[in-house]
Amino acid sequence: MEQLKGKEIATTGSVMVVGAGISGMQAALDLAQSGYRVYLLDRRPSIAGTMPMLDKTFPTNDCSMCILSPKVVDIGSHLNIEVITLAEVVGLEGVPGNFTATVKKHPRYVDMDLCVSCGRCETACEQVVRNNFNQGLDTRKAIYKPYPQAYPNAYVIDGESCLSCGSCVGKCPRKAINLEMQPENVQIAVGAVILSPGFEIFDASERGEYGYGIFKNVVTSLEFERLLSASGPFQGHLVRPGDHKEPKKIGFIQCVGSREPGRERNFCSGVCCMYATKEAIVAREHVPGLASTIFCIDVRAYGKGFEQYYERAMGEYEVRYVKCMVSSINEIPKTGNLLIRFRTDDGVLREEEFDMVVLSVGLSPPKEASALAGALGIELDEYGFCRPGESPGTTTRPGVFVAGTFAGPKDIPETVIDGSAAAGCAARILNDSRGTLSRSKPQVEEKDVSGENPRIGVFVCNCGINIGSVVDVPSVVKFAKGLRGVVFAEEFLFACAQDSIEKIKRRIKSQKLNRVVVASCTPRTHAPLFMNVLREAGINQYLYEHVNIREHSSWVHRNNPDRATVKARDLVRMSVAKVAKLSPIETTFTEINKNCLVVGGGASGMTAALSLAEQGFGVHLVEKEEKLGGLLAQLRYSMEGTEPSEILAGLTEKVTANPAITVHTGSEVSYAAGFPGNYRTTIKAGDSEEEIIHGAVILATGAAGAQTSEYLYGDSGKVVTQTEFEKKMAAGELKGIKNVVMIQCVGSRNADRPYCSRICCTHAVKNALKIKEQRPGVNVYILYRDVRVYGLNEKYYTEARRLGVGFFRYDTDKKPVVTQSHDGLVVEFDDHVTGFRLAVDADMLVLSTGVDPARDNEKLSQLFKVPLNAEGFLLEAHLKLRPVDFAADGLYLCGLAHSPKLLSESIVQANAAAMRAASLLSRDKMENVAITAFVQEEMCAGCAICVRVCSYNARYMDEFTGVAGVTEVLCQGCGACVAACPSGASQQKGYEKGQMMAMMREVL
Amino acid sequence: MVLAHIDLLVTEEGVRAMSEVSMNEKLEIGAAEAGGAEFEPRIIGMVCNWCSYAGADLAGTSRVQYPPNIRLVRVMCSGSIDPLYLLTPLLDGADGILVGG
Repeated sequence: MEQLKGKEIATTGSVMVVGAGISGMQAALDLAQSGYRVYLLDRRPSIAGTMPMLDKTFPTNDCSMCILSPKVVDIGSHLNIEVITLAEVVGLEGVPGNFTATVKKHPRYVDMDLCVSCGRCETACEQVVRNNFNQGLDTRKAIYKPYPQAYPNAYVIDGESCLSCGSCVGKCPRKAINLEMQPENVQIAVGAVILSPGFEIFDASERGEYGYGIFKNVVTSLEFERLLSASGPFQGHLVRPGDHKEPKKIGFIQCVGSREPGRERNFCSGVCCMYATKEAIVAREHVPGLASTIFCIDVRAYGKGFEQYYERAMGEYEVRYVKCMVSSINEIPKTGNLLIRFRTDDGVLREEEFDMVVLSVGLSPPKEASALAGALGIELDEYGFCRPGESPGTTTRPGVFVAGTFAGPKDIPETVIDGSAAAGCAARILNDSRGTLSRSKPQVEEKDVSGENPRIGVFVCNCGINIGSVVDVPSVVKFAKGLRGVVFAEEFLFACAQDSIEKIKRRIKSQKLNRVVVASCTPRTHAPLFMNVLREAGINQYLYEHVNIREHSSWVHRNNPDRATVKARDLVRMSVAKVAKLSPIETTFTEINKNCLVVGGGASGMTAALSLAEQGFGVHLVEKEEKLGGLLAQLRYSMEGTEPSEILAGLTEKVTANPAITVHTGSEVSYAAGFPGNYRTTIKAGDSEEEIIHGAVILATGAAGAQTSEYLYGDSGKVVTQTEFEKKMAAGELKGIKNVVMIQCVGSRNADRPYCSRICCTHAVKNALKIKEQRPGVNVYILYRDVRVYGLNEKYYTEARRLGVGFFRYDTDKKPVVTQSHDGLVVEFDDHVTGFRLAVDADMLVLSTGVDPARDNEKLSQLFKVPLNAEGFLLEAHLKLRPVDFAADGLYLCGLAHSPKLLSESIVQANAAAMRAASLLSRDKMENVAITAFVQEEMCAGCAICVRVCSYNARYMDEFTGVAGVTEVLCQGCGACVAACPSGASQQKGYEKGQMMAMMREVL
Repeated sequence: MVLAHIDLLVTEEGVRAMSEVSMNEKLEIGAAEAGGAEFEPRIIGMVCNWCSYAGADLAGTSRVQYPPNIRLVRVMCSGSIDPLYLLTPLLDGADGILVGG
């Protein structure tokens, strides 16, 4: 065992993450940022999972690749993440905290350290095979890169298709190809394992009646994503695969491989209703006037912002939703069009013609699930998903955690939350070994060059043939040599290759360079690499300019090489002019306080507090009520088995017993100030006030059960809310009742409250099952608009139907009618199947009133300067990829404060928020943004315009001097104050006016 | 805080003199290709690092082809653009400026 600070370390400070999709990536990043070494495995040749195949993402319509790329870059450049591709775990020995994993690495046949992805091998290869990335809509070679942005940025040979002809071997300028590579087994010591292998899509050909694989214009939803994508087989021109004609009318068929108990798929895939809606919207943006029809059982738009997205689809994009069962599809041979045959509610069999049909295929467990389960000794559920352990995120083997769709179907934000939560579970058992195996960058002494004349080095990259085949690189180098201040210029085949990097370092020393310009690809991915070269060569890393002559020249002016070359020269000249004027920028740090404030003492707040305390951080838990528990204390039953009261008692006991957690009940936050790493918050309890200092904040303030006055609520004692009904049931107050009617969406999904409360359908089914269990003779009628019992909970809905619970759909223009007569309540409604009007004598009418945002949210939003959405829930930094973060570092959210969700979902989100906070708190200091604003004090007139324009509260007026100042830790380097400053006193480091003007004068 | 500034080691005239081959020359090449003195505007784009610059990168990775008569300048936020940055190229003969943010 290692010794650290005299304390014995019992665990291994590293974690293996199996599956490098978005969930695994998030887990890896969180762990690596909090001081653990991470081995990130994927069975495929590149990381990032399914997201790169998607065109856009709902409900923001962000480009999937664009939001994903920065995370991929973070993974690739992180010192503490080792990416191992084409790998699988074949064994796991040991105990939690100290495992030895056996990993089988399959041969890539290409040396990743040598390959620079120039693509000559691909040209040489003659073996053409199906391109899986584009779902077989086009072809690739046997030696290939899965897609242009793939990481690792290296080619791979598909061993099954390669003929071993060797024609690529000789064409590789870097001798990177080795056909003799063999598989190898390696043993890796890790403290914990996270499984995030993702999912497979359902094989649509199993549903023979839809003709997938036979009719060319019937495609899966993933194929449709590739058809829509600009990087897809048709460059984003939406055409039918059969004849490459633009479709005008598309039919989407939902639940292909989902909600099919007969096929042993008694689960809902959770994402298809929304992705079909998105695909219909995006398709219409491609082809104006395109008409889409979505054939579905229910529309499950239950997530944050989903209902509004669904409404927009129907209104703005004229997407038509038809609730029915589709019986078959037939092709019209002459046109390739398709006849969809379906039966509507009224029992009539109809047929409609479409140009193209998209099958919304469901999510299946990954193919390797059973092998993985065998190798790791974990159990799977009846469908092949990972069987949960005692709490969400755990498996049946201690020390092995699960994240993402392997634990059941879910959407992207949920898998990201899962990733952080699983990382948190691992960090909790590895607290003592944090930092023992992580590495940090070596420090290099920086040479002071501020008094020297500029000695600029310009390095121009060919990027294999990517730049060099269009831009005349030698002429750009020659041109650069003639520019003033340039003392050295050189071209590289690949500037980013390891040997080139070393060469640049040597040139800096031998040529005494004090400024560097690299002309290659985009600075967004590659500038940090070259800035690090300067740092390692002892030059301030900000004496650097990056020129993009690939994305902005060679790739976009392919047919005009002369002018692409002139443009490259112009861009180099501009950057040389700017780099000559740059000044060194000092990197500053802020110390981080190791305590966290958690606001809200419900299930989420308590879970987050416990996670942080077990990870070694101090927690102040603030609850406005006198007792901990929040809405959890209102629940009596849960679907999964563990009773809410047990969960509550367990959490409360652990929280109060933990010495690292200070509980402040009957308290509220009255004042908050500070910045990430150093907040000062005042907590008020009655008349007494206390100031606490902390590094991070988690807002877990919950929500409120909504009230209603509809359906005689308040007028009749027989009309209750779902929560009240649950309490009555638990108290045994339902003796003698015969008929229970439940009405869903009371006050939800309307103009006043446009969102779906997500939990009501599941709660109604839960309570229906419970009453059926207690009193099998009771009749239960559930009046709904869409049954939104999503994911693996679908089986409870099926069970309720099996037990005879009646489900009747109503439309908003024909709501149920409740009347009170002398001998009771009568509920009238239409049966959507028979068309009959029914009247039920209800002994109990249960209203699913949904969830309201907490009333305090507005105050909280002002105190901590965090945004709310239109409905009044707290709004995260990004709906997809930053689901528990606020835009500013150090502030996180979870639970119902974020949006309505089930108890298990709140617990997972709380674990995730705690991990995100831990990834900040575990650092001793935080590197501040370097390119901050600064003030030339003698020029400042004290007008305070900068203070008004700053979005980050980083500008202030010094009351004594009357001069404006900058709080550097808050400044995000946007430069808005610089443009607003009328006297030129505000400047931005690295973008000073003199520097920018030098560049602007060279633009023509 | 005021940083130590480097003196203007490179004079404006010096920098001007080295701009021998520029977009102006390129325009002549373009005009020659077009077979005459067809007007082609010279456009400067000031683009935000986080959105429009990324958009231009995406155009590259997607191999979208567009005319080569635009020069992009990356800024950290379109809010940081000083009017002078726009006026200078206009005075130097630019025909249009696109601000993307």
